[in-house]
Amino acid sequence: MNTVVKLEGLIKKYDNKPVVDGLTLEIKEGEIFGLLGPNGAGKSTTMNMICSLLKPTAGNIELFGMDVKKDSKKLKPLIGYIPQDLAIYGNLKAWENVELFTSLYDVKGKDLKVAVDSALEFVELTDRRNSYAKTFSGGMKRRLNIACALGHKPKLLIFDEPTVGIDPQSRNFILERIKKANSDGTTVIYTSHYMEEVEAICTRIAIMDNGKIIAIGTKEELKNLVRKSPDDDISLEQVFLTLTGKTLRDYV
Amino acid sequence: MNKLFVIIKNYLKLIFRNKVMIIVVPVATVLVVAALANAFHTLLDSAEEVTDFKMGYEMSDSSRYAILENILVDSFNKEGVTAQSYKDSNPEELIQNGEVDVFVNFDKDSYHIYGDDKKEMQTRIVQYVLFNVDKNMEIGLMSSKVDVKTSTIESIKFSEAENYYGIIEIVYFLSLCVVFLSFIFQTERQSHIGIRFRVGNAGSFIRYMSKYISCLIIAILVQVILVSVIVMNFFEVSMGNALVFYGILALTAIAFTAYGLVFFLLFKNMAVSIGLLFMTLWFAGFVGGTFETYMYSVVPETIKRLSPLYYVNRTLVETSVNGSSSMLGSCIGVLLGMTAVCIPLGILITSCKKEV
Repeated sequence: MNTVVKLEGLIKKYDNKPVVDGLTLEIKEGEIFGLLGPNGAGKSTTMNMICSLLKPTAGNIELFGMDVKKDSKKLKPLIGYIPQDLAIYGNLKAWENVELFTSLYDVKGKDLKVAVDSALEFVELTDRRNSYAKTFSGGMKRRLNIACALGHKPKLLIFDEPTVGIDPQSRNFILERIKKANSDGTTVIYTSHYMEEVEAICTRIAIMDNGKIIAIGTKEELKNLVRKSPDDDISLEQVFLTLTGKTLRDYV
Repeated sequence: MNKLFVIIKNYLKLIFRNKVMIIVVPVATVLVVAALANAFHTLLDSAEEVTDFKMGYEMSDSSRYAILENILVDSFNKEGVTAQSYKDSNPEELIQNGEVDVFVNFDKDSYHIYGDDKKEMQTRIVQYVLFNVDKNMEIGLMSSKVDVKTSTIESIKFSEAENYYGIIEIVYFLSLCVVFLSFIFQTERQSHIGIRFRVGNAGSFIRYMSKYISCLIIAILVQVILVSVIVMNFFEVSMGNALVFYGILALTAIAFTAYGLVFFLLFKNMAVSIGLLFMTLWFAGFVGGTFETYMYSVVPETIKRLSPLYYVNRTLVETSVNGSSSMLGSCIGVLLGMTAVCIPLGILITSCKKEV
């Protein structure tokens, strides 16, 4: 398996305080990699550095064997980023939103039309392609938010809490679509606070706290870390709380 | 280019779908023109009627204006002002007797204007003419050549209130045209859409130019074409010279869109951006003749010249009345200068502000 994401000694400091502290990590092609952590653990900062939105204070990031700093332009078309916020225009129709964000990756002409249709079909919004995004339900907006990152057919999809505030049906649909995208050959990085989601779809999970990875492995490997006996029926949430503690994290 | 074109296309869709803004700006322009034209009707129209009056003057032999006496008299006469010379006269008595409407006493390096409260307009006209003569004389003396251009005197031809405010308010609302983009900034900030542009291959130049060009297109379509056609027909405003009129309006749109965008890019808070933009434009308008006519304004010329709107207003009003304006060159220079500073500044701010 090829390495898609390689982080080496990654550090990001704000006001000399490390938010990401020497992170080293490899994500292989075809994985759905879950990144868990309490608020302020450094997950979003890590994602932002992978997407070239933030510059690391130190360390290296390689995507598809290329350096993020040097080959940023070549790498951008390979990445699809689904932000936690609904980054869509309410006054644009569904297809217009997808067209706009797909065109940022130099997709044009007939290819652009095909890409828009295919992205809308993937999230099952073809019937509503001509509706304004502002008329959509929360779940539909989430789906459109995803479609906007799919048009250019990225090889790495980064989901930042994509199921916040939606009904179980929409959540289930989105998780199914993520699995479908993965089975089509896309590598996925997924962050969420919903443990059952991570447990349901991720092939490997890392738990971050205070800017460091404190545990990494498959869900069974993580559970084994805190299991006292092989018969213990333990959830990922219990693993998470055991490893990160129960203290409230008031992150500003 | 394709990327830029698609972003602009979608921005234009967003702007045109915001019907409130598209309707409010032209309607507001027409209403303000009507309101100000009505409010200043008496002032401007009385000035228009005052074209034929008598001015007495006494010229001291040592006065620096003595060499200009004949030119001055000729120029006043051309404008319908009869200039009569007096010796050892009593100005107050002459005015009270109704022999003259205004009297000017030229001393060595200064002049004193005597006027009547009831004939304030005549006094102001003389004051304005002499101010311009004085200015030209300084330039002339520096080049060892005294030459009072009659075109300067002609600029006292007054515009009707509707004509003046018709032109001036088209310019003022044009300078505010960046508000068409305000709700796009609002949406992008609330939803962090900028992140999508940055993750995508849209650099700061494309991100800036897409906003700039969209706003410019709307400003030209709505304010320069639609509103100017409405205002000019509704209030019977004269362009004077169509090329100069539309050329200067287009340059104004180019310069002020770039200027306004700086405020929207610089501050995260929309209220702060709009507040500061309005404040600076209000000041520029205040000293530049947007509210009170620049002809009667007591604001010193040096302060007026700090306002880009003054150059635009004067150029367009003078062109409308006289067919040409001595301010044209300075006006083009100021607008091009603003553009040359504000566009690179806007691109710089866009590339520095990395919202995550």
